[in-house]
Amino acid sequence: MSEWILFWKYLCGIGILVYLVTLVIIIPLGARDIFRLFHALRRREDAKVPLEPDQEA
Amino acid sequence: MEAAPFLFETNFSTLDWGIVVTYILSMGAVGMLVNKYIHSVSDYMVGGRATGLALNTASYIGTELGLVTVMYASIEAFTRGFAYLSIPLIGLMAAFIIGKTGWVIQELRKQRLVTIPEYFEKRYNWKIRVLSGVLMASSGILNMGLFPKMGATFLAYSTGLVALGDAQTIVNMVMTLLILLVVAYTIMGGMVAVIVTDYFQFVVLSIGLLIGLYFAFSDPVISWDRIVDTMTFAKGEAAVNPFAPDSYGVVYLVWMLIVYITSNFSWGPVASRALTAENPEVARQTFLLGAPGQFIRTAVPALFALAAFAWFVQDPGWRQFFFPNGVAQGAAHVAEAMPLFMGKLLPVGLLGILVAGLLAAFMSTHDSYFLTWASVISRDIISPFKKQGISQQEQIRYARISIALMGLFLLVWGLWYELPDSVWTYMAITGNVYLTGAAAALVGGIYWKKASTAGAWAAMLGGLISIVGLFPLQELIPWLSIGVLGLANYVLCALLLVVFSLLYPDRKPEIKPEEAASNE
Repeated sequence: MSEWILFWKYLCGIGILVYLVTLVIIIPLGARDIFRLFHALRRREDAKVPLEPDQEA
Repeated sequence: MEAAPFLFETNFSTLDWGIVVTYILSMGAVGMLVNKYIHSVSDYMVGGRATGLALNTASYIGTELGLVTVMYASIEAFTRGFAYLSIPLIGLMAAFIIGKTGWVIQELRKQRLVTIPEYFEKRYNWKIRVLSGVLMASSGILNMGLFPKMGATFLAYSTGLVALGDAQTIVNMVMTLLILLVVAYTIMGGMVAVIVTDYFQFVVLSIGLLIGLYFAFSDPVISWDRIVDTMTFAKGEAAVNPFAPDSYGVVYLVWMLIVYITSNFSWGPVASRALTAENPEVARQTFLLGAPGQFIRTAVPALFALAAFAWFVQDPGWRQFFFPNGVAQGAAHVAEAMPLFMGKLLPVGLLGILVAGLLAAFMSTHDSYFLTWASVISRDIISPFKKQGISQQEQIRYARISIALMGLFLLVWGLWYELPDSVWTYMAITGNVYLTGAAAALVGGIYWKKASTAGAWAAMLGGLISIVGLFPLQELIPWLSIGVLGLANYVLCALLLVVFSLLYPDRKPEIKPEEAASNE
């Protein structure tokens, strides 16, 4: 039983640490991607041409 | 046993209400602001397929990190103990496998789909597209049937609103308000609003939950060792070992691994993150970078619930409320434990930020689900039956009408249906109805040349067997557990696909009725 307790303890600790690293990457780059998304959608509207054609409905 | 109303008072203050209202209004404003970027169906339904890796990953985690997730994870952990952490671990493994291999999702993204059922028309025929659309939308809407009730329970207990009067009435009133709010918000916004608000929700919730967890474990009466002692005293080996006789067992965990893997590529709201990515490689990387988030989104609420368990056990009043028959005899009021714990332990300000973040998460999950099912209804169920299809404006109009009707259904279902003991199992079963058949037809369609239309029909219809899991089967057949039923349904659907494909191979492509009429 003690092996399981140790396993969950380390899993949670490592999981939280890895997630913190992910946060540090995603937060700034995600903000940049929001502006890129708006830019792409605006460019697409200005050009009146889809970036990629849709599937047929 | 009913507790005195004053016991339900929490630290939630006027400042916290201010934070919640400001945050929700800000998210509403963001939703309306980004509405100006919606110019086509693909903008509305898949965000123009222009989402970069980091934003798409935030949205992938944000969609899955909802108030409902927090609630069902905490209910399971409060009931099962540390053994529940095996489920977050499986979630991580599944996302990692998909992210590492790009299995199915890269192929779906390459085909520039707006919805998953579109693939079935391309690979099989339009009837399979309609069938998969019907199954996906109906199982998906049923799946989210408990979302509003759980969201309202969280809000009513964490803010202390239940101290004002009859708990059930207050929960129902909060639920009605939440549904109205989220229906209006989704009808206005669309996928661009979903992706952008998912990002803010991801940031606020991730930071808020981790700081909250620090507070919970810094409390003088809570420590890791004390939680372990309390849990093992109450549940024995099953509290920590998921393979113990009274815990999940191998079959259930294998079923969960398959549920998580298949839902990543065929469950609309999750799989749509492959469709919103700017290219197939970004689609794959989204799942890889998002894998730790798949662990955290359920593991952190579980840790809150475990801390709540140890905290409530130490107080005689709460012990009587949550464990009326003794700590070792199972808990009552499990859905209320984590919200009450948060409301009583977290300080003013942080509580407001967390509740605001979770409320935004509630809206974000709903709008993502609403939008996915509405897109399926308009494009995959209504459109194929209309001569010449339907225009982009009509698709958006049908989608908005569907969203309003779904809101009405959720209200009726939420008022009528009682929360089951395991919310997660309810969700897994309702999801299974679609996932089992669709996964077989998708995987077979992409990786097996001989997969035929008859095979896809058989696999899809075979998934309906999962519905029986909603009834108390084990009272009649003791060996037929939910895990056995769920896993057997996956195997059955795969077999049906193979057998019917070999018996009835495809000869020529079927065409829609209107195309046949125009040819005549």
